[in-house]
Amino acid sequence: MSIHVSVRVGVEWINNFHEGNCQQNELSYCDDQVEGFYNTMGDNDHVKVFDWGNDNAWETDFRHPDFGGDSLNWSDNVHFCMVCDHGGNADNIASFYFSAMHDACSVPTTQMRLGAKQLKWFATLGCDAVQNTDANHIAAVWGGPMQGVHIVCGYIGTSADSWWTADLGEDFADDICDGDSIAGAWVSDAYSFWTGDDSIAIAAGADQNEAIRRRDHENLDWRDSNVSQTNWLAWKYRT
Amino acid sequence: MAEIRVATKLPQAPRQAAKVYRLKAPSVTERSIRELAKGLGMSIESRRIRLSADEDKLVLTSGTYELRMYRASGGFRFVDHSRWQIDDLQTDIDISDATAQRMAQASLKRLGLGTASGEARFLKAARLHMGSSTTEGREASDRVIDVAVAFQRMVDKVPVDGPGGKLVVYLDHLGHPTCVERVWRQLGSARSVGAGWRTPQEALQEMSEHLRAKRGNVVVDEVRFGYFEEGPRSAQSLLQPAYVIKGVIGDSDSRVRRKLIYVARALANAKTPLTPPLARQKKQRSRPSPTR
Repeated sequence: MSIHVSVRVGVEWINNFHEGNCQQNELSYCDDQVEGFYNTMGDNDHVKVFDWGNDNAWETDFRHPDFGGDSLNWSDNVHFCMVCDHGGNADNIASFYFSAMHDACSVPTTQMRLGAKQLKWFATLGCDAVQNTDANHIAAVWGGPMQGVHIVCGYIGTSADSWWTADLGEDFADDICDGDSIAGAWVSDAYSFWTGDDSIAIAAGADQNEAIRRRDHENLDWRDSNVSQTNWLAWKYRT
Repeated sequence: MAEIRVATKLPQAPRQAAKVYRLKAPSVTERSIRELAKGLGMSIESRRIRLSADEDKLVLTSGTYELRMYRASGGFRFVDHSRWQIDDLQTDIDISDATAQRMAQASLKRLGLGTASGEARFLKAARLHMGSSTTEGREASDRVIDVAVAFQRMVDKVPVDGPGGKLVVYLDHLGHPTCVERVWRQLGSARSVGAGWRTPQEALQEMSEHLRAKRGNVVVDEVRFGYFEEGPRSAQSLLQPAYVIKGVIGDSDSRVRRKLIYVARALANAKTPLTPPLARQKKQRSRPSPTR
């Protein structure tokens, strides 16, 4: 099945971290993963809007203006945003880490309002989108930040930075451009028997039925089927 | 340069003679995919069947069935889209790994994909969960709707490691397969390699050189020995032994860390690294000032 709408895409990635305030252990394959996604989406006639890497990737691109950020011009000015960097999760707050201090070195999910403007799908390829699969934890981490976004994709616990998973973004883009459901393609492509990566996709809805319907069936053609309110979450994961 | 700390006991280098297998070039043609489909019991009515192709794969669809065959490896995925990952909102599978393994073996046998004794071993059963709750975490539910059973290929009693070398069958609540995936390249001739083995320490040294331009800490928590088979989209001409090194980027007690997996040559005379060298850092155009 082919897709009938055009989707605006933005990606950010960090491999190289400096000594100093934003110092982290360096990564190697974040660019391969998200640029594979970006370019494959472009090859399928979707619109490539931004690709910011290393020091060009800023936490303000994800932080909502209510907290002094600029998300409405970047992550929330595209339909599909994918980010690959270091992630962490503590006290039911996921954080994303950046190499350049602009304005800070990290952004917590408590300062994100995903979908406030245009964002429909958000994929985070770093660690710890959630730490476990307890419903209270999943809802506490993502119930607040999902403010119109349809689906969030990520990992349970740590994810691998490896040459052998560098094609993930390309594979995922291939599948969703073929019409596969977004949550199904993510959970299937990102799970790995070999690396031990456990994948999760979380859908939002005004009620339980809507959240489940999005989790099970939503593909790129659902771009304009807005989430009117986020009262329920429905998720799928393999572990 | 990354600081590498080993937090596990390293395996011994093997004692037996090293052996390398040539892999037969896969035959991925309209004829071969139709034959495979027939063998898997896929209904091939010419009226309903559709064959499509791109540079990576051939795809045969008939009704809700789809058979995807990768040109580079001959690996395939056979899926019934009307049942794979589809939730009837009631199913909750509660079966043990052992039961799932037995069901999977029976299914594979029926599909003509059974493996001989010593050709494969049970690797893992992974369950697909469906959950929901309100955004406050109330009315929570969690059910299992499928069990994916993975078998790992064995060659000469040595496990085949890597993204390939696996046969995975996804079972529904009735124990019926909803999807089968296989990346299992055909072996060709074998040759013994006289030059012997590298040690695990040499494999770690190779990884250290690979990461020489990277700063940070790596804690190695597992080093495995096995044949190495790549994923479905990669061309591979030799099946050779390797050390698979797994670890964590960051300190084990750090909140911010990622897994690392590196594959190193195990043969003393292997010239090309299995893991390609890191690409040079890309130059980026400067980013304009914020629009705020």
